[in-house]
Amino acid sequence: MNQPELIVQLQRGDGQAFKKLVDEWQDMVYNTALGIVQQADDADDITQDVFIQVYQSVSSFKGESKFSTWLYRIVVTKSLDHLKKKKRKKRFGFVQSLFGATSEEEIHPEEFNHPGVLMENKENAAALFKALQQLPENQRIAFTLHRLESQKHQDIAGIMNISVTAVESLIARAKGNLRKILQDYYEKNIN
Amino acid sequence: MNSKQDINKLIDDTLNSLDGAGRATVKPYLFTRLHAKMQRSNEGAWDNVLRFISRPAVAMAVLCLVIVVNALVVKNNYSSTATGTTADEQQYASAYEYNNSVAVLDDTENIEP
Repeated sequence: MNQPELIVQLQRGDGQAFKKLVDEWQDMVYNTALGIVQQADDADDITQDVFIQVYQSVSSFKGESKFSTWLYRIVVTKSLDHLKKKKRKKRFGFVQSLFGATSEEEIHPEEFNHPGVLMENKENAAALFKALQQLPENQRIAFTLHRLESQKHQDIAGIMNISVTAVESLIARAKGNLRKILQDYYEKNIN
Repeated sequence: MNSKQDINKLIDDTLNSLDGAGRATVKPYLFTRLHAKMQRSNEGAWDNVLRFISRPAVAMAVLCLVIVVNALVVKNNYSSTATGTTADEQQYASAYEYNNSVAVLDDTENIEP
């Protein structure tokens, strides 16, 4: 069954087609979410939410863009929503701690190790992911899609709904900012 | 100088640390977990309403609202009872006067010619 057929089947509510779609795209969805939220359990939750939304709204997919573009958009939106929710929760962290709740930082360590990174690059990648957290949202998304999901500039432009030139500019600015952040980090930690 | 070069190399290495990175793979049985989650989200509307109501913030807000409404109702009842008592008393008084006047009419001894 090719992709357009699979989508037609899915739009008819075929459960088998949905299972096939999940099997085919689950790692892409998970990897993208993981790159953005940098927490395995959260990325797993987001992956489930993404597929639930796909199942519920696939009827609105008209095929005007590639299916992968549509799917990436959902993943990025869900991941960013998740980060916003998490930020809101952190603001009320103090109130929660008064009632004995454990704060988010205690549950999740700050250093993130992406499981797909080569062993010799693990330490550097952890520093890179930490630096990525300090980038503005759109730079972070463009950089993550480009480096972690190996998406072409044109595809990123489709996902983010901006021009290719804007994507190139975002990635260049992301690299520049990361360089500055990493320089500060290494100067403090090496000297 | 050496240190600066080292740092620049380290930065380059860090920026290139995602080269050759593979995709992270999702935990096994995603579809089973997904299916269970979808079934939970398909629960009846009443379950969702109950879950919403049982949130501490909502429960506290509803409790406060109930207390305020109760206080208003009690206050209104009290003031209307107070007004009602006065009206009853007046009615009773006028009725009493009427009875008196009837009594006066029946009092043949005191009827003026």
